[in-house]
Amino acid sequence: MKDKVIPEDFIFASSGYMPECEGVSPVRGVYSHISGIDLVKGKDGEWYILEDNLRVPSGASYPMIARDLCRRSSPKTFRDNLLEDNRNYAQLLRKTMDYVNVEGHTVILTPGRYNAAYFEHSYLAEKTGAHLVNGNELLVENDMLYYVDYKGKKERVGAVYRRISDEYLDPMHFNPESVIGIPHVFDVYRKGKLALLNAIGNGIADDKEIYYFVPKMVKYYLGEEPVLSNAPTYLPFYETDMAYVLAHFDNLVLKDVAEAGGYGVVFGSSMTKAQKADFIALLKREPRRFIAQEVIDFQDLEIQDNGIVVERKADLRAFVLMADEPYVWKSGLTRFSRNPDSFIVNSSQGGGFKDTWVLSR
Amino acid sequence: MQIDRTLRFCYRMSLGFSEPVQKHQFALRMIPQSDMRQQIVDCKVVLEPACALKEGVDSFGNRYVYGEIVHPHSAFCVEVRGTARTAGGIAVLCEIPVMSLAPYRFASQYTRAGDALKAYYGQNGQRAGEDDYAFAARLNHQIYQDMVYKQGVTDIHTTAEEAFSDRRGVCQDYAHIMLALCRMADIPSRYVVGMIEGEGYSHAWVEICADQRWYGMDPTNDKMTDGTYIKISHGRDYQDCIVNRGTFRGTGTQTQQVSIVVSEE
Repeated sequence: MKDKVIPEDFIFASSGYMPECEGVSPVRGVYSHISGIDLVKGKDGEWYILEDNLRVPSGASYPMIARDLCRRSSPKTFRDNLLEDNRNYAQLLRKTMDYVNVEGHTVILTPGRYNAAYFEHSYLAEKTGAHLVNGNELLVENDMLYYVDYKGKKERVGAVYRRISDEYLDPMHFNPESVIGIPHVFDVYRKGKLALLNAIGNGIADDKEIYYFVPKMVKYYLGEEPVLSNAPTYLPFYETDMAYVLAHFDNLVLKDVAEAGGYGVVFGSSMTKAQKADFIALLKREPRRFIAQEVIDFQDLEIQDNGIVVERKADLRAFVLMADEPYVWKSGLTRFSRNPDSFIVNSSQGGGFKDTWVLSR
Repeated sequence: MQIDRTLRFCYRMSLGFSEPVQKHQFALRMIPQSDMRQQIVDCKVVLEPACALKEGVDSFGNRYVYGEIVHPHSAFCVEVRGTARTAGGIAVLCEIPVMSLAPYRFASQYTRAGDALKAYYGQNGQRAGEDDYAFAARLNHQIYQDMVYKQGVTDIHTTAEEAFSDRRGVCQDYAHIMLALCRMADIPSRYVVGMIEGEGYSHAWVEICADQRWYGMDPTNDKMTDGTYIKISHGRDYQDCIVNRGTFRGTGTQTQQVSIVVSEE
C-alpha cells in the first residue's frame, strides 16, 4: 500500500476489512495456517488459480475418506501405480497447530453437529488428537482460554482451530447475536495468549478485488513471476483496463464484487444489445463495483454416473499448510458438477468429489 | 493545557431483567480517558452486583473494562463517577501516524452514502477556497440547518443515508451524516461518544482531522466542542463505540436506563 501497488481504498473500504485487528499480530506471525487454493485446468493444458480461500477453507477430510475407500475397494490400483501417499494430512495439520500453540491444549471449535461440515470437524479432531469442542465448552478467565471438561475441570487452551467465521467468534467484539462463539476470546488473542487458526481478518486478502493484485504482490515481495497464473482479470477502476473491457466485452465475464456464491455474474456474450448498453452505462458509473475476467474454457473430467463414464466440469482445491514453512499437501479435493451443463461444483448444490492422485515419478 | 472548566460527571447505566440471568459477560466503553483536551483527575467505576474487572484497549485506542457475573441476577448497574478538567475549543494534535488515519477516510457501514447524500454533497460539496477545517465547519452548520432534531423516528440501526432521506434524527444520525459528507470530501473524520454538561443521555459528535489536528464538531448543537464536552470513545461510526456489549444466559427481556449528570464544580 505504501508503494502504491494496491490502492488504499481496496483495503480500507473493503467489506472484509476488520479495524478491530489493527495492531494485532498473530502468534509467530502466521496468518493463513490452512489455505485452500481453487484451481482449474484449461483446455490449453494450463492450470489457473480461480480463488484463494484464506478464511476457513473446508474439504480436506473428503480426499482422506476417498483415498481410504479406494484403497480398500481396489488395493491393487495402489500397488500398481506410483502415487504419493496422502494419509499424512492429520500429521501435517497437527504440526501446523502445534507450531503456533502458545501453551496448553489444542482444540477444534465447531458450531455444532447441525453444521454441514460437522463430519469434517469431528473427523479431523479424531485424526489429529485434538479436542472437538463447542463454544460453550470454552471459557475466558484471567486473560486465558480454558477448556472445561464434563467434570468442570478447567484446562488451558493454547491453540484453536476454529471452524466458525470471524464475525461469530466473539460476541463481545464482533456480531453480538452470536451464541456459538466465546465471549472475550478476542481479548486473549489480542494479548498473544492464544493462537487462532486461521487468523482473524483474513477476509481482506481473499476477496474478488484483491485476487487481481495477488500476482502483483508475488512480484513485489519475491521479485519473481508467479508459477501459477490467475485467470486473466481486469479492474475497470483502471483506465487501461476499462478500455480493454469495453473493447473485448463479448469475451469477458463480469462479476459484481459485493456478491458471492455465483450471484452477480454475467457473461458479455449472453447480453442483448439493450442490456449491454445499460450494463456499460452502469459500469462507467460504478467502475469499482465490477471485475472482468476472460472466459476460460475448462477441461472436463471423466466421472462415473450410474456406471457410465461421462464428462463433467471440475475443480481442484489444493491445501497449503503453514508452520515453519509452507507445505502443499500432495493431494487435494477434486469436486465435479452433477449436471452436464452446470459449472457449480459445491457439495451444497449436489456436486460430487473423487480421489485425487498426485503421481510420484 | 489551558484549563477551561472542572466538571464532575456521573454516568449511570442500569439494566433490568424480567427473569434472573446468569453467566452475564459484559464489556463497557464508558470510561473517559485523559488526552490533550481533557484530564481525568479521578474516576471510579462501581458495579452492582460487584465483580472483578479486566481492562483492554481496542484498535481505536479506546479503553474498555470487561468482566462476568456468574450468579443469577435480575439487575445490573454501572456507575462511572469522576472529575474531568477540560480545555476549551483547542484542537488536539493528531496522536496517530497518518497511515492509521485510513480507517477514518472511507465510508463505514453506517456512513455509506446513497443517492440522497450524494445529491446533497453535489449541492454543498464545492469548496470556495475553503480549507478542510472551514469546509467541515460549514457542513456542520449546514447539517444543523437542514435537519430536524426528533427523537423516536430513528434507532441504533439507522444509517446516515436513511436518516438524511427523512431529514430527521438524533445526535447519532447527525454525526453519521457529518461523517459521510466529510469522508466524501476526503477529510479523515471519526465518530465520538461522550457527555456534555447538563443532565440526560450520552451524546455523539465528530472529530475531523485537518493539518494533523483533530477538531471536535457537533452538528446537533451547531457548534465546535468546548470545555463542556467530555469525550469517552471514538471509532469509525456508532458500532465501534457501543457503550455496553454483553451476553447472558436467561429467557427474560431486558430494559436499559441511562442517566448522565455533568456539572461544573
